[in-house]
Amino acid sequence: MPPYVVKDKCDGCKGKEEPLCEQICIGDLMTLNPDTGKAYCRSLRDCWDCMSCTKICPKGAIEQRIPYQLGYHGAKLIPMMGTDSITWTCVDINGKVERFSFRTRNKK
Amino acid sequence: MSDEGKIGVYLCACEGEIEKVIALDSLVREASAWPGVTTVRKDSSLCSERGIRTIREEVKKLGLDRVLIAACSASLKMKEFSDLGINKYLVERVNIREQCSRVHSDNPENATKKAGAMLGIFLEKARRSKALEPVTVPAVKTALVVGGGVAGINAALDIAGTDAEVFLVEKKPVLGGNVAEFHRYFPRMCPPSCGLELLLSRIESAPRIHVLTSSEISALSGSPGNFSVTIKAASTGVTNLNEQDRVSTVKAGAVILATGWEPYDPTPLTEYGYGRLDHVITNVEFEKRARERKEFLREVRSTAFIQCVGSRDERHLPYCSDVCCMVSIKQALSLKEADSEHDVRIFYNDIRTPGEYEELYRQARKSGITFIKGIPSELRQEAPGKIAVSVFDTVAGRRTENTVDRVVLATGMRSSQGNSGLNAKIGIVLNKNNFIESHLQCHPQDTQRAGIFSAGCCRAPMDVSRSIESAGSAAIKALQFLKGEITVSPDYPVVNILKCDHCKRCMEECPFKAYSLDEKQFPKVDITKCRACGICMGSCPLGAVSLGELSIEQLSGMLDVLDKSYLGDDEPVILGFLCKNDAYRAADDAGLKGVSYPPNLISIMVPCSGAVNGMIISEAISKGVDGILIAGCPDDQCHYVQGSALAKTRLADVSNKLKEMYIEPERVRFVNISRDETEKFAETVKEYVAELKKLGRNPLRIQ
Amino acid sequence: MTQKIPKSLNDIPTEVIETDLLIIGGGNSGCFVAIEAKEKNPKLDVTIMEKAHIDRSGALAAGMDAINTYIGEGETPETIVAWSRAQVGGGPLREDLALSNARILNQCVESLEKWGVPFNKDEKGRYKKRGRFDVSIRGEQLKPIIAEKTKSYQPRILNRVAATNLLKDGDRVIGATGFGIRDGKFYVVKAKATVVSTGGAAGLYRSATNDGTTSHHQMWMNPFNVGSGYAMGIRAGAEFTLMEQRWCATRVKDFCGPVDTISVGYKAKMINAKGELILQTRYGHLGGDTAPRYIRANAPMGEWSEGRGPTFVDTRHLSPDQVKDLKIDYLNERPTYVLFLAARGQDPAKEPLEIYGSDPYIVGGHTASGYWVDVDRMATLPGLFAAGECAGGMPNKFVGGCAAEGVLAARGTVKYISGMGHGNLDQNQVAAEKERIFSPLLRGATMEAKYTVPAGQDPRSQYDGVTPEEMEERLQRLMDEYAGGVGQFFKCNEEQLDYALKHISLMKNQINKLFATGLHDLVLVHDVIDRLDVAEVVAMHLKERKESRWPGWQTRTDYPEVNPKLDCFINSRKNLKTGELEMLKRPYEQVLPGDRTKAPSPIPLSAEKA
Repeated sequence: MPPYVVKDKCDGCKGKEEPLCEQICIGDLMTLNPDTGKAYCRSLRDCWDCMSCTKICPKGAIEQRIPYQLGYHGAKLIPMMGTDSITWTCVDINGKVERFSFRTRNKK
Repeated sequence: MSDEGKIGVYLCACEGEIEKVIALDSLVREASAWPGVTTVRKDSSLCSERGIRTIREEVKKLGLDRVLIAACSASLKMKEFSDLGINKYLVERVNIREQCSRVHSDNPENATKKAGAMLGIFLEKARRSKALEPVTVPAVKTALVVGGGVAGINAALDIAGTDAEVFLVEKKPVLGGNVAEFHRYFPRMCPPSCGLELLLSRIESAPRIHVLTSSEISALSGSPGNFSVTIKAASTGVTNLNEQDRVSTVKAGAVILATGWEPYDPTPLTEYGYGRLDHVITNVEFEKRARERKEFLREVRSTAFIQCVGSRDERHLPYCSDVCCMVSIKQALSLKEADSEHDVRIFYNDIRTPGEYEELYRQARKSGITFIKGIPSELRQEAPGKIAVSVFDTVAGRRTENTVDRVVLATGMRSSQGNSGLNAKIGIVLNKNNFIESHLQCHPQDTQRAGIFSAGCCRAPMDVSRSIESAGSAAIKALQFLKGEITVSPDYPVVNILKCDHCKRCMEECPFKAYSLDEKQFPKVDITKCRACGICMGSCPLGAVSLGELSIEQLSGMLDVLDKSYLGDDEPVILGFLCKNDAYRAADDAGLKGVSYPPNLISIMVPCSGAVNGMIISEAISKGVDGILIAGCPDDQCHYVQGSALAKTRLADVSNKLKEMYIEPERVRFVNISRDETEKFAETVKEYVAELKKLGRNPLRIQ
Repeated sequence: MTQKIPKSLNDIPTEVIETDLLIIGGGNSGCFVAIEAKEKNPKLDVTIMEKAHIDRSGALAAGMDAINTYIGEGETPETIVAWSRAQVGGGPLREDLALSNARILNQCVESLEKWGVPFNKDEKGRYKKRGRFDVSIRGEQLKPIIAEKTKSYQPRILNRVAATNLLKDGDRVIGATGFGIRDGKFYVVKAKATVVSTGGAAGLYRSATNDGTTSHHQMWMNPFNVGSGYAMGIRAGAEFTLMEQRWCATRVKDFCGPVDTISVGYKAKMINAKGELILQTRYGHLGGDTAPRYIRANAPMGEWSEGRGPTFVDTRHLSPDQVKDLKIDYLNERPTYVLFLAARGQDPAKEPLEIYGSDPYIVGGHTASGYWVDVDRMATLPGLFAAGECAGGMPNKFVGGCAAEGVLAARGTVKYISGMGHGNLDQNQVAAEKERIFSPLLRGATMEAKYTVPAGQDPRSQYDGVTPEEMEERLQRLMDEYAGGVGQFFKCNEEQLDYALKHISLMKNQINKLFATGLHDLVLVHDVIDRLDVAEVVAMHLKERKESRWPGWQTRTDYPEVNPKLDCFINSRKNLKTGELEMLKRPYEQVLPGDRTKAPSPIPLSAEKA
């Protein structure tokens, strides 16, 4: 599922050589456009939607969208990372909102 | 909960004050059942000699490994509670007086519930505390003074009075700076040669001062206590170096910048004809000529002084240069002294002669110097040796034409060109007028770089007396770094390299540029430059940076343990992060000021609001906290330059995320609270509780 | 990130690294190799070569919702091996490997919990079972946790370095070469022992949902695992086994995501359009719900091809809490499945979830394809080891088993390395490899623009060459149509396989037309080169096994029955002198007695234990 970068939110990780999404992408797909200073996905069709980029973006600038082949427009799945937990919000095409919070790390 | 431990919990009744509101006995019962708590006691006065002794004995007898003191605010009784026979970082202070019993005295039941919840989370924090010791770093007992003007010379002498070495570097071939070329300086009208001669002879005879004239700093690296400075000598000039050794490196423990000022060139103010009309000179030129030849003061019979030339003017120097009024009065008095009939007119906007300098102003008026409130619009060459000065006299209410032999333009000071070059070489922060910016009103000699101080006019326009005073204060501060070693408190941040992803946000956001990359390209903090503000901890998107005395793990643990319904199912719970310099102290004052706020807020003290990490805020919301309140200093007063501004940005990001997640963005809030804005703080909390009650409880809970 | 494209081989810097143990692939099993190797010998110099970034790379990128192999109360290593054997219809499988794995399985799984992964627990505080050997976890942070543990031992981690070939000194494998995807360097790593742990091979076949727009990588497996580990071994002359045993699974349709979560965890049964219970109705004679795994792969396909589709897992009995738990499970493994349901406005409690077969993969963590290894996990070339999905002969490893494989391979390498020196590097071999790796990039840098580019088209169409995507798509369609892809309901015959092999050969001859216009492109070029090698071996194996022992995983329409003479391993090995792939058979050895097709029930708990 392709990741789309919202240009008003992305700050290119302040113009470092590699923004965080580029560092983590498992398929070497996220990268920084040196002209705009913002990140983008090189090849939307090659994404495997692991959502590592979406989770790691400090500005929440990445939206995961589903190919039209699979699902219709307007559904959203948004992760909010804590240090040991995560909350997901899912909105379907009818506007129904669901939220899921669970622990992802046990503390020692 | 983490490893259990052996914790001693001590509740202070504060001579009855706290116990009147909070039911300490029930808290003792509650806390006794918590894992890892070895003993719980209440005491009428923990800070008394008896109280401290008892704790110390129990620490020893019971082998306690953590101590919780539930009493007054941590900013009080610090000396008493640091001597309990246990590492002070293993002592946790819980503020059940200023932020509980005093502000919730109207509802003792809720106050007790809040105190219980506070004990719970600070106990969890204590469980994860580590014993920390200060770190001592060897340091060099050498100071570097950059600039050999009146400030630099005095700074060097002040330091050399101790057992430290001083390198005094001056780019001109001689010491003395601008003042050396002057005729007189106020208020006593002494010739500078008198004082300077004395100072220079002391410098020459001081065995520990090494003077390098015709030399400049070309690079500076290293840390406070151990700076490495490269000095480049000019190819000509008298120096203490071999002719071949043009470049040398000096190790310095502290640096004092005393690079002084330059006069502002009034050529662009074409209306004054500087460089075009004869006999239009600047105040600096007046000084130099008066010094060079005695006859100068008698050469003409009438002189006009025009104040604020190029000063207080957005197009030139927007600021006031502090000394020009006194300089003109001084010069006018010199003219009158040489010839009492000399026609002296001073055209001014305001006459600024603060303090006892007022006396000189009175003297000037008495001596027949004319003061006209109005700045001339233009000067014209009326005849050879005669200049027409046209001015609208705002007091008289009419235009007057003045013809004088000479016009002195009172121009201001700008920071010496060296300042702008310095910025690049040393990384010093300059303000918008290119003067060295301290950012902290109460530490004017600081430069935002630890170990580097400023003295004299490179910091701001000032007169000779103030320059000398500022040199003294810079020298005293520098001496802290010249003791042969520097002891650093272990609050500094540590980067967890197992989590770090090299994004370098911590390096970028550190206001003091205290970070650099180690061999493995991980950020490492220079502990002598660090001020433990925690802005780096707040910046890390992966939560990989933690302060010595407040870690991400501690905060996350506190979020787990916090009873999100400690006031009952219907009452919202707000977690506050209050900055230790302003907001927390303002909140502490509430009780004594008779101000109260609802008990729905529990506050955690942070060094700076910028230390609050966005992930922790998100996690708090995920774990069911109803509202987060971050309170920091007013943006431009932040003790760490940009903490409040950064905190606002971080909160805005979380708020945007919440909006997308169909969670009310109002559940996170930032407020600027200055040290004395206790009422504003209390109002904010009241308002916030009311808003959250309307929004309802946070529906999220960890499954 | 701006990259300098080199114009000649001399512009490309070479970085030579000497290490004791080289691990190619820093995924689940690769990390466990590093951890165990350092535990056994902290002084060992360990290097991990990872194509992506170790924090999230591999199949665990999005997380995991269950560990599918854990020996709970009442079970033993023997019962799990017997069950695994029955799942593959009795085998053949390497029971020696399976038993050695099962014996250390639990401690590997338990270490995950020690490192902080939340395991769901029952009322008694034991791991909560969702299937016989499945335990539920909240594994969204599983890979970062494993990566942090790995980093704590301070191995040398080469992130963004793609491994390309093994280095050899005679028969011995003495390290590997690779290229830096960010720094563009040529990496030569000399190692006393080399472990290949690159995961399985995805994208050999066309995915069912692959369309012309944004769903090219809509597949169950991590599409960036292309089988480079297998390819390097094939080219080096190592022996491979059971490459015909493709992993074809039933998956949720279109999304192509896991379905065991639902079918096993929530007891949702497979039904067809008429509401008939498929497994009971049509496969009762093979065990119904407990039929071997490949039957479950075939089941929905059978229904579709006979006109009784669509097919579903019936979730209509789930309570709202169960639906929520189901979604949380997916959020921990393939989170966008929840988005998929939301994007169709679908509530599992009201509408059953559609299922279909997936494209075939080669993945030794599920089936038994992979390197032929001994009990120390050493391959048939000395100095070369395989871990995780790369190791063949043992099916049903899943996450826990692959972790255990990593531990076993580490022990094997430590044993091998002791007293061993480095091999001799053949500079001609190194130079040839540098050329092989970078020539597509140099070609791309020096090609002349020949054609006009219509607006909005890929600028690479100016050049007269072959882009890696073109060749990849051709391969995928070829395999789908001629080597039993999902489009053909997994069926193939001799003539189709010959056709596939012929066209693979045509493409291999055109590798020298591939060009790359940047380092990312270069990765795609080598991905397709490696896939071609693996696909060729798969087709040869499919050809060789003239029976249909595991219909679905391997269906020969011209040999639809099981041939008892082929109750053995079909292996292959490239003859380095002739360049030909030699096929051979190895006998199956039964270690665990009993009926191979039956899995004995768990030992009932005695009254005292309960």
